[in-house]
Order: sequence, then structure tokens, then C-alpha cells
Amino acid sequence: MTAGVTAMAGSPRSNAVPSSRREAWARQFRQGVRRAMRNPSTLAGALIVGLLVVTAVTAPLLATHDPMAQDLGARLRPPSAVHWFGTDQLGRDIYSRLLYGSQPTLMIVALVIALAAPFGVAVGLIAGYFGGWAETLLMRVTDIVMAFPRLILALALVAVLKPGLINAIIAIAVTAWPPYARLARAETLALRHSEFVEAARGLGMPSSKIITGQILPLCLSSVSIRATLDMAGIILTAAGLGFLGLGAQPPMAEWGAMIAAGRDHIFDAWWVAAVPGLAILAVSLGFNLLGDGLRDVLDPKHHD
Amino acid sequence: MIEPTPIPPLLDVEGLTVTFPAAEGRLPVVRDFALTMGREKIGIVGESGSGKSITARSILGLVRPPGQVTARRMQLGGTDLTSLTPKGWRDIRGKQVGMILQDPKFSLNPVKRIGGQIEETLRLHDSIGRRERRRRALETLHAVGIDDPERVYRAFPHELSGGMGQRAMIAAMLVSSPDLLIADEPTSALDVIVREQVLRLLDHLVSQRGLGLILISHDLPMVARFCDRILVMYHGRVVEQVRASELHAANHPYTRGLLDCLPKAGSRGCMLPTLSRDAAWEQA
Repeated sequence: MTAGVTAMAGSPRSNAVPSSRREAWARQFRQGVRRAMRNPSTLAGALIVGLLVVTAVTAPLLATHDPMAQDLGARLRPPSAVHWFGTDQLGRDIYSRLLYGSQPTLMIVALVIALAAPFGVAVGLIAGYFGGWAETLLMRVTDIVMAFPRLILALALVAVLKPGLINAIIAIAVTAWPPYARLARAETLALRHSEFVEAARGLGMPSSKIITGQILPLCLSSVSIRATLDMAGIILTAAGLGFLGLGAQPPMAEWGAMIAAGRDHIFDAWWVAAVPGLAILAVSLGFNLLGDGLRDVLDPKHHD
Repeated sequence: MIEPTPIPPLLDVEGLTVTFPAAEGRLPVVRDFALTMGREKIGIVGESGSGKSITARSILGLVRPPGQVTARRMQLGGTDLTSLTPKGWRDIRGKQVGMILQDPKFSLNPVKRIGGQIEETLRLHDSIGRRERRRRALETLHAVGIDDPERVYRAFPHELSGGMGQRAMIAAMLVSSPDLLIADEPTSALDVIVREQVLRLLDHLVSQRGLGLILISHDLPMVARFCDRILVMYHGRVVEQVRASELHAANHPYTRGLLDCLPKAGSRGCMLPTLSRDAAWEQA
């Protein structure tokens, strides 16, 4: 009997009323994390993305060789105790290059999202809120950009701008914003006639403030889900540009370019192309899994 | 002796007409609405679609295109509303006229704290410091009968009940002390007991602060209890204007019809009469 009472008193975690707002918030956050982590695929996604970030930051510490150092006497060595993932056609250590290659990958993803998402969302908010000719104009432009195959448009842009990492980022960002515009417009259309927007207007709030203060905060969760799911596609596009020699320029270690270099030796030295290829696969998968998991946590309509 | 200059009425509207485009030309939704009011309580009643809400919205300039508002005269405390720029409208809204909407569940932004939403009005219209804004917001929350203003100030709309939410909404409208309050069915979404409380609160605040109130509703007896004057609208037209105390003596057939439709203790077990409409009412 005593044991039963103790057990009840000892498990206040799930049912007790939170004593402060901060505690309630922290508990909700923990619950969200727990809900996300209960799903093994989300957990796997988070681990892969986390590993990518850690790798990018600590690459100089983890690397066993200088990623640029050539050793022509040790070309195309298979994986061994010295070179864990073998060496490429110039005798560079693939393991070290793989670690350093996570840096441009992460940079491309972060910068493309930072450029494309705010721009797309701004276009969508303006189109959705004002309607009329502004909407027609903006959304038709969005449709036109969207109608281009993404990689082809990025290719053309890089070709015009001259190959390089920064130009690749710009090119991908230019092709990546339309989905955000559509998403933000759809959300805005649903919200612009809602009563609280009407009430805000009734208080004398100017349109600019209604858009940024009332509508934007409600778009953010779906935009961040979209962004996470988008990252996989961005990595693939970036790798594609790198493969074609239009992204990061040699001797910089970049996964797409590393695959391109391994292409000539694919039958006699498979590891040169396979290792960065697997890295791209794993990271894209990680972002997709994480995005799916985030949607389950952030989107109330998806709860079970 | 110098004749004192007459104080302009708070709101003076004449010949207000709102039209919307339809297949057969422009369809009038409000026709030739006229109202001159001081700091008193006006009730506007009528069935759904009779133009009550649109009338209220046109006073705030919130009729969206393609709706078109025209008026021979529309003045608010001496300001001519017919020739206002968008900026002029924004200065009027919230500062001079506040509007309370039907359902607090939808009229408060779900992702912003109550305090922030109340302060928004002050931020828009008065240049006062953060601390002062907070003080005024808490004070107004207290004035609308919230015992625990600190908690509500920090709460999100979903953490409040319907009645609390509507009080918060009223606080947001009152905080910059407007002269005229328009309440568009402020209690329809609330249950009966809370409805009574909110109405009494509204009544108290309006009398205490000397505001003008336009209360829109389809609940005729409720309006009769709280307002000084009642305007009955039918098909976009005011068919009758009576003092609330003389509602029982109303003589327009539509008003009588509305009154007769209400169930009473004495009519228990009998069929209630239904409105038989008369095309002549629209011309009246």
C-alpha cells in the first residue's frame, strides 16, 4: 500500500501541473524531442545531420592527412590502415578530403536556404496578401522559374557567372526560391481574411506590419519543414554542379568534384568515386529523414 | 451673450450606401443608412445578411474591394471620413474607433502573447515607452475584470477561455481609449452566462468612460436591455428606429414580427409565428 502511494508520488513527470511558464515550455520542448526521437528514422536523420555538422567543424582535428597534400608515389591506393578510404589519382588521402568536403557542402546548404527561403517567403507573402495584379505578376514569375529544370537553370547561370563555389550558391538559390513563394502564398491566402488580421486592420495596423507581425510568424513552421526537406535536393544539385566542374574548383575538396575525379578510375579504383558518393547519399537521406520527423513534431495536423 | 458652439456629434452618417458588383449591375447591400449619435449606446439588429456588419465596417473603412462605399455625409468627431487617405484611416482605427469582433478564438493571433497584442495598439498610435505601455496594458486588463492581469498578459490566446479571450479583446480595443466602440456580435460565440458578464462589463466600461457604443446583434431583447436606441435593419435598410424603452411599442411589421418570433413562457406548447415578409418593407 505504501509502495503504491510512493510510486504515485514518485512519478510526477507526466501529469503534474508545471509550476512555471519556463518549466512548461521546457517540458513541451522535451516532449517534442522525445516524440521526434521515438521515431527511429528521425533519430537516424538527426544523427547523420549532427555528424555532418560536427565533422565540418572538427575536420582539421579528425583528418589524418593534409587534404591537399599530393603523393604521386601513393596514387590510387586501396583502403588500408594508413589511408582509411584509400587515395585518389594524385595520392591524396580520401578520408581527409571527405572530412574537409563536408565544409563546402554545409556552407552551400546553409547559404542557399538563407538566400532562397526569405526571398521566396517575401514574394509569397506580398502576392498572397495584396492579391490583384501584384499577385498575378509575382506568381507568374514564380511559375516561370519553377518551370525550368533546376539543374539546367543552375548550370546556365554558373556558366554565365563563371564557375566557383559562391556562384554555384547564387545559382542554386535563384532556382530554389519558387517553392517557398508558393508555400507562403498559400498560407497567406488562408490567413489574410482571418479575424485577427481583420482585427489588426481595425486597430489601424499598416499592411507592412500585418504581414510581418501577424502572418509571417504563422508561416514559419511550414517554411522550416520545407527548408529541411529541401536541403537534400540542394546537396544533390551542388554535388551535380561540382561533378560537372562548375562548383567548387580544384584543389578544394568537394564531394561532387571528388566523384568526377574518380570517374576515370571507377573500374580499377572504385573507392575514389564510391566514398564521396556514399557520403552524399547518407547526408541527403539524413536531411530527408529529419525533415519528415520535424513535420510530425511541428505540424499539429500530423499528430496521432 | 455668446451662443456656445454646438459640439459636433460623435458620429454623423447620412446616405451611406455600400454596393457589391453582381451579374445584374451593382447590388446595394446597405442602402441610404443614416445615423447621428453622441456618446450613447446604439443597437443595430436585423437578421443575417441585413447589412449590419457591413455598415459597421464601412464606418471603419474596412469594406474590401470590390465593395464600394458612398455617403452624402460621414463624419467622426469632426473628421470627414469620406475623403480619408489610407494613412488617415489607420490613424482613426484603434485610436478613435475600436472594433470588437465575434469570436476571440479567431480575432486574437494564435502565436502572439496577449500582452503584446494589447500593446500593439499603443505602439501604433502613441509614442510611449515600453514600461508605460506595459503598465497601461496591465491596467486595462484589470479594468476588464481580469483578476490576474500578470498571468493573462503573458498567456497565449489558446490558454484563455472564451470569456477571458473576449475580455482581452475588449482590453486591446480600450487601451488607447477610443471615443467610439463598435461591437460586432461580441457575445455570439460565448455561452449564456459568460455572455451576460461580458455585456455587463461592456456596458459598465462604456458608461464609465463615456464612450459611444454601436452594438450589433440579432438578439433583440438583449440589445433592448443594454442600449439607448435601436436601429432595426432589413435588406440593407433601416426600417425602424426606436428608443429601447419603447421597443414594445414598435410599430413596423418587421420589428413586430421579430418580437413575436421569440419564445415566451406564455407561448409554451404553441407554434411560434413565422415572419411573413412584405416586399413593401424594402421600399419603406
